[in-house]
Order: sequence, then structure tokens, then C-alpha cells
Amino acid sequence: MKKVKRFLMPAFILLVLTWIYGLHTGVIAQEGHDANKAQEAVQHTPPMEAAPATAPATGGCNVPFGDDLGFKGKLGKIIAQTPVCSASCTKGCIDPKAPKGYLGIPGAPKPNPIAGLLWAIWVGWIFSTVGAFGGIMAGVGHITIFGLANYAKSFKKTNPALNKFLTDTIRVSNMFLVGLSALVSTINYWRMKRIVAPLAIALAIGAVGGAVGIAELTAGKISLKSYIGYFGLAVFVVAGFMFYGTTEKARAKRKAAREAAKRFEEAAKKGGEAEGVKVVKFGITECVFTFYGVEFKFSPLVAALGGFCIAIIAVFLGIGGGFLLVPFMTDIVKLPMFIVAGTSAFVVMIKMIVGIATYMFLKGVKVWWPLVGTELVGIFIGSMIGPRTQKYIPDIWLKRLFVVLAIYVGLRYTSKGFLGHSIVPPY
Amino acid sequence: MYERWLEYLDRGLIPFYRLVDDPVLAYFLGTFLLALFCVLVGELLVGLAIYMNRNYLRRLTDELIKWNNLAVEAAEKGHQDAYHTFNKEANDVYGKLFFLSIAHSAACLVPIPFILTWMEMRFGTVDFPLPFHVPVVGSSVNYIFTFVVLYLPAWWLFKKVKKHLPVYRNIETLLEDSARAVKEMKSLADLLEKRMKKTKRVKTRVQEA
Repeated sequence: MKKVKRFLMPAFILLVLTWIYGLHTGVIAQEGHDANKAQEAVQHTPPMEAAPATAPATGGCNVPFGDDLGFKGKLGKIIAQTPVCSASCTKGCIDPKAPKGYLGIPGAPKPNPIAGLLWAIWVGWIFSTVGAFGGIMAGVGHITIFGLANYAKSFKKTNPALNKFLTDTIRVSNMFLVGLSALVSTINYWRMKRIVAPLAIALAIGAVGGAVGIAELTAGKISLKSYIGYFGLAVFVVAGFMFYGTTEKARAKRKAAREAAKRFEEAAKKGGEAEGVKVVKFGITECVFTFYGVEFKFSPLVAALGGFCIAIIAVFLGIGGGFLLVPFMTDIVKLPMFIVAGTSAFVVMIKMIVGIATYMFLKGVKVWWPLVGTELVGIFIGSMIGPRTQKYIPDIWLKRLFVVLAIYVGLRYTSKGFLGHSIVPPY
Repeated sequence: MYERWLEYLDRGLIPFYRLVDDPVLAYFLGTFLLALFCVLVGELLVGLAIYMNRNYLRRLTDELIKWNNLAVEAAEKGHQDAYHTFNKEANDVYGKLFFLSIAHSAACLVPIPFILTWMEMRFGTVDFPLPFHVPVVGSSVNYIFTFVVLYLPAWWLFKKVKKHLPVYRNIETLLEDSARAVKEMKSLADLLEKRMKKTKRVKTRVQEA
């Protein structure tokens, strides 16, 4: 296995070089002379602003644009179907003369880089202090703070396809932040040999199925309104987990754990009898084994099913799903710490990558790179601020603050999504 | 504002693509150099994040090791309840470390979206034909695909020489220190191995007797 691994990357490089050689010699070619296109791209400076196009003068919002404005793939087709702005059509339309905004669409909102950076610093700060809520707040940024939801909403009646396409870009942008970061974590854990392959594979099989399935089924079909509603529900679940952490019961458990640790350490010094190891049952549906008297049950089927369900929720909403995965592994599958470590990062990575790939390569969804880049910078800065401010704010108060925030966000999104208006201010 | 930044980026990055005359080779050489640049800058930023958070990381790692090892010792002694309690505490600490590592990992990827923004502007309309039709992917790929396939070798190459590069050598030491939990955390698998060896020894003695 080690020998195979050693030759994996050189073989990959060889394949890439062969492909490049094929392109260079013209053995691999396509209509449209792409080599010339590449040369043109290198030699000429492309225009930075939107190319003005001629717009039909009248016709209300019923006249489709008919021009893809140079956008490739699915977005180009959708743009061509969008009404062009005129005196009688000012909302839910595209003004080709307007400056380029989100995704390069003329007239689309252009998230302010400073606001984007500040919001991402806030997300990074949450990641490094509270944890799970960071992914949710990244989503709140894309939906509300950067004005993308309102922009998508404007196309609800004039071009529902663009409304749904923009909803998908919000989902994929969320996934990018979590997925790419989990990728790097996984590489580190893999190097540290912290990933238990059989369990990770069982979970990943389910996760891949869920991620591909939900992306295939819902890409281009979910309106922004529904997405916001479901996102709000997920925020309530996170709020529930965080609230439990602040309850007397949970705090008493932590206190008891510390006391038990003390007693256990004292008892350990005196020595004790080991009870031994016994594998009770091994199979596809159930693996039961005891390590020194402690019983573990691990069902590859349950793991795959859990991975499947969590991936459906995570990829549908464009969140990492770590807040569901870790309790699933520790409380339902009852796995020990050394198995949970690394495996969760691996599964988050797999489902995010599969989700992103399905949305982007199969469904033609795009992301706006400058926004993703600015957010990564912000998360990086926020992650360094978090540990420095943590000593000034007690953990319990931090959690309480986020529970209140999560309830507010949950109420706002759920009511906006399912009732059509927010029941909390701003209405 | 983005347009202005793109113009600056364009001035800085396009020379990488004008090193050779052949357009295909120029594109791939330029993209490989950009991928290598992303790897180098990303690794520097990760090192900076870990260095800035080293005390907090150390505290969390110590706590993780403590609870995990207590859990394993509880298992060794057969205290099932104690095992589950300590394991839960270890998981809570691990949760914090996990999300912190996600935030640190973002640092590694910071340069990539900016490079892709520029590549989209320059090469967004270029299709790169594949030698054959690949199910799911199709017959051609775009600039993102070419960047990813060149980023992987660049990253692999960097890992090979990292220990010999001045600043990156120190970053590697920092990374190793932050990963010490792996070495110091006891594992139930180790207990199993220990127990199996013990059982084997007893069996051998019985057979000899």
C-alpha cells in the first residue's frame, strides 16, 4: 500500500504532463481554437467594466434580454431569459449599462469588501471561540448582510430561474468556506494518522450519497424564500445545542466530570484490576466489542445512514454540519474520542467537496471568488482575535449571547421563509 | 474597488504567463507558478496564525490530552461510566480545537480565491479540451480545473522541500508542536494491543507448562 501511495502523485503528474503535451502539439484539440483563445487572453487586457449592450427601449418586464452578456453555461442562458430594464421595468431586470456586481452581473449588488472583511472577522472570531455557530453566521452574511437575498428576491416573478440560481450560489459560497477549510484539517489529521478509515468510509459513503442526491434534486429548484425558511429551522437546532450547554444539567455534568476525574486519578494511583478485551460480535449491521470492560457498538449501516441524513441537511443548507456530526458520533454511535477526532473533519470535507462539485460542475452554479477570498482573509484574522478576547468574556455568557442571537436569526429567517414576512424587527 | 484591485493583480500576475512564447505552455507554466505562489503564501499565513495562537492552542491541547487519557485509563480499569464522562469532556474540548483548526486552515487557502478571480477575468472564456469524453466532467474543462491539477503537484513538491527552506522549516516545527496531542493521547487501540500481547504471553506459558 505504501509503495502504491509513493507512486500516486508522480503518476498524477505524468498524466497532467501528457495532457499538456497533447494540448501543446495539437493532438487534443477542439473546435474554436482554444490555444488561440488562451493566447488572446494572455496578450490582451480584458475590459474590467460591463460591456454596454443595446437594450430594447420598451416592453415592460416581459421582454427577455436575449443576450448572455458573455456569461458561459447555465448563467448565460438564465441571463438571456431575464427582462432588460426599461422605463416601465425597473425591478427584477438587468440593466446592461450598470456596473458589474455580484458574479459579474451588471447592476447586481457588489458586497463592500470592507463590510465583507469585517463580517468574516466576526465569523472567524466565532469559529475560534464558540465553534459551530460560525458556519451559520457565514450564511447570514451571504443571505442578509451582503444584500444577495434581496437581489435574488427581485427576480422571483420576472425570472424565477435566476432567483433559484442565486440561491444556489449562496449555498455553494457557504459550503466553500467550510469545505475548503475542512480539507486542510483533514490533510493534517490524515498525516497524523487520526482518521479511522473503516468508519470514515462508512460515514463518507452515506455522505456522498446524501450530498449528490440532494444537490441533484434541489439545484435550481429551491426558491430563496424556502431556503431562508429551512436555514432558519437549522439555526433553531444549533440554538438548541448551545442552549443545552448553558443549562444547569449540562453544567452539573461538567462539574461532576471534574470531580470524577479527581477521584479517578486518586484511585488510579492505588492501582486496579483490568477486565480485559473481548470482541462480542462483528458484522455489517453491528459490531460489538469491549475494551477493558467498556462496551462499544458500531454499526457501519447506522454510520452510513447517519452520514447520509446529515449530508442531506448540510448540503441542502450549505453548512458544514459539524454540529450534527459530532453529537451523532459521540452520543448515538457512542464512539470514543480518538475515533471522532479527524473522522468528523474528513466527513465534513467529503460531503462539502461532493456537494460543491455537484453544484458547480454538474449544475453550472458559480461563486464569486472575490467574496470567498475576502471572507477567508477575515476568518484568518478573526481566528487570531478570538483566543485573545476569550479570557475577558466567560464561556457561559458567550454561549448565552449566541443562543439569543440564534433565536433571533431563527425567528427572522423561519418567519420570512414560511410566512413571507419577518415577525421580529426589522420587519 | 474590486476592479481596481483586479487591475493591480493583472499587472502583477500576467508576467508569469509571458515567460515562454507558446500559448499552451505559457498558460500551464504561469498557472503552475501561481499555484506554487498560493502554496507558499498559504503556508506562511498558517504558520503566522498558529504562532499567534500558540498559547491558547497549548492550553486546549493540554486539556484534550488530559481528558482523553483519563478516559482511556478509565476504560483500562473497567469504569464504564467514568469512561463515558471523560470521553464527553474530551469531545467538548476537541470541538473547540476542531473549529479553531478550521479557522486556521482558512489561512492556507486565502490566496486561492483572489488568484481564481483574476484567472476568471483572463481565462474565463477558454475551454481546455480533454483527450476523451469523461462522464460527469464532459469533453472540456475550465480554468478552475487546470489550477487544481497544477496546485496538487505544487503542494506535493513544496512538502518535499519544505524542511530545507529557512522560514518554512520553523513553521514545520510549530505545526509538529501543535500536533503533539496525537503523540501524547493514549488510544484504546493501544490497550487492545497491550492486552493481546499479554494474552499471547500467558498462552505461550501455558503451552510451555
